[in-house]
Amino acid sequence: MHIVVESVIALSSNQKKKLADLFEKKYGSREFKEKIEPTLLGGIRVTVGSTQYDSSLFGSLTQMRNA
Amino acid sequence: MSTSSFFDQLKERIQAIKPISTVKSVGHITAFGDGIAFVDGLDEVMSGELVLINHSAFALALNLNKASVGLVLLDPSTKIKAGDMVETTGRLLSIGVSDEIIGRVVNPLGEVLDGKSQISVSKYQSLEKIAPGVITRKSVTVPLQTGIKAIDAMIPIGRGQRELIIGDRGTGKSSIALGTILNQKSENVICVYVAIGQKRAFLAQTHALLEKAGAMNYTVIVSASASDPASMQFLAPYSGVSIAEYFLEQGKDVLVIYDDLSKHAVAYREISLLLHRPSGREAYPGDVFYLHSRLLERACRLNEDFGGGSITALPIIETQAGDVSAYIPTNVISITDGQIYLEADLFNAGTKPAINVGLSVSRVGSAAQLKAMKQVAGKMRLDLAQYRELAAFAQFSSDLDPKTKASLDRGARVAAILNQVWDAPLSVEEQVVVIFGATNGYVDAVKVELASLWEKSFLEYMRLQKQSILDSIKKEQKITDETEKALRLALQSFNDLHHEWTI
Repeated sequence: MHIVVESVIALSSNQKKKLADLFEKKYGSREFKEKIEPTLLGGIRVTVGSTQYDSSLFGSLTQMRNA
Repeated sequence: MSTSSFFDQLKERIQAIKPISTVKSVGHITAFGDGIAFVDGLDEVMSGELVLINHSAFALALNLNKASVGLVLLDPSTKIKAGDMVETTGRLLSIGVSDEIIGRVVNPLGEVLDGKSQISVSKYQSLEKIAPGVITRKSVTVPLQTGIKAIDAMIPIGRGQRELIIGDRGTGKSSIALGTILNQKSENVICVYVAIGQKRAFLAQTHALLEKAGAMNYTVIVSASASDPASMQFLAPYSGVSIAEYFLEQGKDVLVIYDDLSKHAVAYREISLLLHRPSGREAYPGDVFYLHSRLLERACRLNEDFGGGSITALPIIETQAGDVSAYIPTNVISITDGQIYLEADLFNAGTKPAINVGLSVSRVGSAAQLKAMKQVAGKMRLDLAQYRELAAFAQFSSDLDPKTKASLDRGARVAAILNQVWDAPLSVEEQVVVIFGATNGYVDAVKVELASLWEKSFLEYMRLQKQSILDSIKKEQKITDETEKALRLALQSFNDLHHEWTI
């Protein structure tokens, strides 16, 4: 399972641990790639394989723009 | 509105939106070109789903392969490169419709092409839809008057029917379709004209013509012209019928004209070949029949429980060198409820509309014809059939027995009466009186070449002096004995006025 976590600033070790626990429970793997993505403006975006979970500010603004 | 309250309202509206975390499938473009893109990822994409490339360009997911997804771009001008991110939107392709769309020219996605304001949307109609089921339908009984004598008399079309207009290029197919639109002025029918792969100049001409005739008050034009991408040409007919369904759901009668489905099949072939789908006969993909059948099945007449509306479809197919047994023509002939054959030979010989009455058929037939028309049309069909049989002997006219000669003379005049200019539709009562005159011998004494002049003057005479007869036929919807007597008197007195036309 290829997991990528995008955030605006580097994740703290506590956040990284929580994410790793979650991924192990759901997908059975603690490995994930971190990526710094300034365009997100805030929040995180997690891509698991080809499914993307978007909780970023950029995503929220896009929803508002299209509403 | 003061600035502070404006900002307050804006703040309220922004706060009212509760953005949620979204879940979508993503992928990246691996190959791209010719309006097609291949993408990896996109595991949860639906067939026919709208996807977004780079947060800006829309595309349709048409090929769902094991390791890749084939997309068709809807906008060719967007700058896309390999590696761009693609995400699903969760939406199937749909077009925004409202009552405002009447009188407008739009592209298959609902964007306006006539330079006027945007159309406000009251409902989104899905482009792909399952046709109404058997229980919801009712049989076709109400006529759709085309205003063309040859069609309304012998190949009558009903509301809810699919009638194919088929012929070579330049035989008058689009003219019949446009003439039908012009005749719907007082018929309470909304018209949708779908132009697929047409020249833009022709579309501009058509639009101007319909505007001038006042037809745009009840017509919508959907256009994907020749320079538009194949994806747009592929979607245009589905947009047309989706717009028609919006009005069908309101219980209205709609006429949809697809001009033409041959170019539609070619556009679909282009997309399929680029998507590496296996090709069959004439390089068309295997589902080219389904392409047209699912489109034409959406033309229907609904029963009262479902609104009582109807969609009549007039697809147009262009044949090459009169070959109606080619792949696409035979496909569409087997789908429609009849066809109108236009022949180049007839056109060149001066028969306009160049309809081959012998080969044309309407499978709904007289079930969708006014009683008045039924009364006169049967005799006309007989006269013409006899004329066609004897036509080969016409060159020996001086050596023939009187009965044969009489058949030939009568047939020639009835055939001449059927000639009609495409932009001068006739109401059904006017058609009835003219055909009555021709089939009951009132034109026999007139020279053949003056038959059209006879018809024109006779109609003027009826409109000016005998409007009551026309009104009575319109009201009763049949020729009563009284009306027949008055009509015969009118024909006789008209003929008495014009002895200069007799042989």
